[in-house]
Amino acid sequence: EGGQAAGDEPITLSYAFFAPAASFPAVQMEEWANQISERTDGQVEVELFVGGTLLSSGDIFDGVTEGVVDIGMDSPAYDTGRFPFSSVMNVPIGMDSAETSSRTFLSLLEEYEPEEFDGYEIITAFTTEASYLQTKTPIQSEADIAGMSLRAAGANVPVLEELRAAPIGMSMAEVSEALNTGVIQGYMSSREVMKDFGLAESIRSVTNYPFGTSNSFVAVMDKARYDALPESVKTVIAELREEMMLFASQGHDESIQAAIDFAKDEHGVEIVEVEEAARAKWDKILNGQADQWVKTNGDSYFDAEGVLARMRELAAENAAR
Amino acid sequence: MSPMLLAVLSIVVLLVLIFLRMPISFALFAVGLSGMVIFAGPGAALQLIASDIYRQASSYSMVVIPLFIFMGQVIFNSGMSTKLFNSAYKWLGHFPGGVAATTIAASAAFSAVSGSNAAATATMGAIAIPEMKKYGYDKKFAGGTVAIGGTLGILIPPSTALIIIAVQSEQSITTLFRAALFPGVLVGTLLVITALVVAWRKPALGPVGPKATWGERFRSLGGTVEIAVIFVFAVVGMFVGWFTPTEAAGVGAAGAVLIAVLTRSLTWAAFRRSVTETLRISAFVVLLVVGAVAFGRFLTLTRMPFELADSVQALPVAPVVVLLIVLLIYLLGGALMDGLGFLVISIPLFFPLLSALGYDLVWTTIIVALVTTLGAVTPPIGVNAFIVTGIDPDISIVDTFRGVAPYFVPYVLVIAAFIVWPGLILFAA
Amino acid sequence: MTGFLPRIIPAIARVTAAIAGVALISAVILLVSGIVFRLFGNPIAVTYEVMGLLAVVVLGLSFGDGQVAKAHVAIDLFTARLNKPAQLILEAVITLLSIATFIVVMYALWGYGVGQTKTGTTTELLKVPTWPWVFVLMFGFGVVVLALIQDFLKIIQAWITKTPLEDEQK
Ligand code: NA
Ligand code: NA
Repeated sequence: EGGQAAGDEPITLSYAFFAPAASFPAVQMEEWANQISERTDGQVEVELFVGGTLLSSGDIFDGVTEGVVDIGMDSPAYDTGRFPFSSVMNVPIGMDSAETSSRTFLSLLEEYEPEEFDGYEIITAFTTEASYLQTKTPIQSEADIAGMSLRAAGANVPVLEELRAAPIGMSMAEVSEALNTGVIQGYMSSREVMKDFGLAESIRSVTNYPFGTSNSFVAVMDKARYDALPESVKTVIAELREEMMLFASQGHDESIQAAIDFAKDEHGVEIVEVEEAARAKWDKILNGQADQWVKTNGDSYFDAEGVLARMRELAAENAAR
Repeated sequence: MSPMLLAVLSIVVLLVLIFLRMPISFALFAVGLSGMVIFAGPGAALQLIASDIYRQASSYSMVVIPLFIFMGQVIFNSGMSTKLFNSAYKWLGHFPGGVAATTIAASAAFSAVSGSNAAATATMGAIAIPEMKKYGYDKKFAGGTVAIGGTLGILIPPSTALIIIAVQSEQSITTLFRAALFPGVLVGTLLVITALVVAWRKPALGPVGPKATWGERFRSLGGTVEIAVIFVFAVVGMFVGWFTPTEAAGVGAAGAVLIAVLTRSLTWAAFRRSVTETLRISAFVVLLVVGAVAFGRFLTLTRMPFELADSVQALPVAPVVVLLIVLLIYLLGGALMDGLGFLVISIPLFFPLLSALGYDLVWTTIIVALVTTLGAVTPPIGVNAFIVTGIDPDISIVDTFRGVAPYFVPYVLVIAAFIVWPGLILFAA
Repeated sequence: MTGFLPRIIPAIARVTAAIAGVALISAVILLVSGIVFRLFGNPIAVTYEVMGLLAVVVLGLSFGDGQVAKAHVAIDLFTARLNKPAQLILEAVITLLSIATFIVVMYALWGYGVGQTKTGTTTELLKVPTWPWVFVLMFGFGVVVLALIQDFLKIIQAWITKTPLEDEQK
């Protein structure tokens, strides 16, 4: 398919993602497709395959390598075996907006050029906001959360275990049913799901305490095929890298506010604060996660301690914007 | 070759291979794989087929299929199903088609704990087909009844189809389940009535049995206690929140084994037979689903489904005509491939289209679910019909397709009623 | 035919199916104990993940025995009207095509599994490597290929001895 064109030949690029068209990463794809077509005067057309119609999460980067599609976007952070560098985004350091953590993630990828993305050109990268506890009964203290069955994924699982909650793994699609049958009393996730998965009707409370970034996304193109693109097209792709990161994360932050308003107004969901005593203890547990991450990645190909320190620096800079 | 031509050609080749007696799942693999190689090259094709197989076979929801089949097999091989049908026969047997009516009612009950058509058909088929044969039922009627009963699997909640739609079109699963309950029960009831009417008009199809005394009837209920306990435990346990539908499959299977062992009705040989049969039926069902996914993936690659949607959207006609065309496409899609596979591909195409035309999403979902589930009993690719043949080779696929025909009447009536009076669905949502 | 293959192939299929059976029972036990643990306030977070891995064993290792038992349904609407030699030739061609298809499928899974050994892909919570499970699936399809090879030999034999195929009588 596309890739080998030179000069002003028409180019068609295919672009795959696992989540539905209405999800914010997919909305970003649509915007990228429009922008690139506009800025190349129609030379580049993009065919989108969203909702896992072509490739599922976990297979997308290999699909790009094998030429199933030209560009693919996937979530690297949960596959810590393959993407140890990206898993730094799982470390909870208190970044509370998608924009802050997205700026931080893209900067880290650009500065370190981690070898887990060797052979790929990064088209863009961004993240969701932090994870929050969203539950049927308010959680404000240690006693409130003890023994509670909560749906969680990835790096949030050990955190919940330390909080003496009972984390349960299941797909987001099953959460509504599990809440309604009482199998779980809540879940830990970014907050747009209250609206997008219709979960606001099944919960009563959101605890205003950010845990680690809920999910991250990296869109890549095969390096060799990227290099074969005309210079003019490469320039456009490069200028869209940061623009798309901002488009996606700012749009996500706005949808979070909309989801919170929806949950409050339509379903009477309350936003509660953590009690002072509990907050100190929770902060300590989250700090412990950072030490744990450095230890786990001690013999990785990158300097774990340095990467984490740089992430904290970038996060502080970006939060101050 | 243009992608569109390649897609159309591949459908033709698929049908030719199937009619040359290639197992359907194998043909789906062969054509899907070749199409991917031609379209995207060998590297991409190998990557796609391998990832499809691995993702499907390692999915939490796929293991529900063998579990529910296993539960049915244990109930069947321990003789519990025979007792249930003996009892049903004492109560209903003197009506023409009484056992067929019981089969559909039991399928409806089973669908309340099972999310898939395949599981409902395979489980109830293993129980009901031997019973109907024993009572001298016409094999077309027997096969058609079991296959149509299975269509309640994704209609009556819980339902994998509704979960897939909910996630893809960002709706509430709870709302969809609630909305599906009344249509599901209504269709189930009408199917029971249809079975009785069919046999009443042609008593030879479902022979009338001897009329039992009231004493015999009540005594026969004792034999149904075990099966009732298993069903009630699985359903009630799910509704009071002890476990999810997926876990209900495990509980049902464990409960069936436990009760069968306690009542000394499960020999070691019968247990082993249950496991072996479960694996064989599951192998067939799962390979079929994976094959359909692989073939659907190839169609997606050619963008044929997308082109189809675009051309429908461009038509200068009234919204209801577009709706009917979309439903027709679902019917054709469901005829040609696995209903769930077609759903996954088509939701992103048709749901925004219907929504833009002013149709309520919940309502659209239920109508689409009604049409999708029919795809499991429409020729040439009707998964439920294949499963019936898999369970009993004496009942050919064509027998089943013929036997299903009268049951289309209630389906068409219900779909028409819901289009005319959308409130029939929306009142519950 | 009293050769080695006709005995060894069903035996391999039976042994793999037996392993699948053990995995099926394990899945039931895991689900039920998961519920019991949860009722006592101690849910098992990894149930979801382990069920996925068990599914691979249950499903992958049952494909072969399914083929030995002819569980994969075919439509004989059209072929039943052909004469016997034509049926045998068609059957042979279709069987060879099936063998070729599943050898390609095995090769695809081999490449997919090898790719995962290189990237070090693991499951999310347990951090179990995913490649062995891909190879379990590949092995499962290998048993299907063996069963198909046996089918093909039966067709050849029926052609030579001019007798109907064994499985047509059942
Ligand atoms: Na159901
Ligand atoms: Na069909």
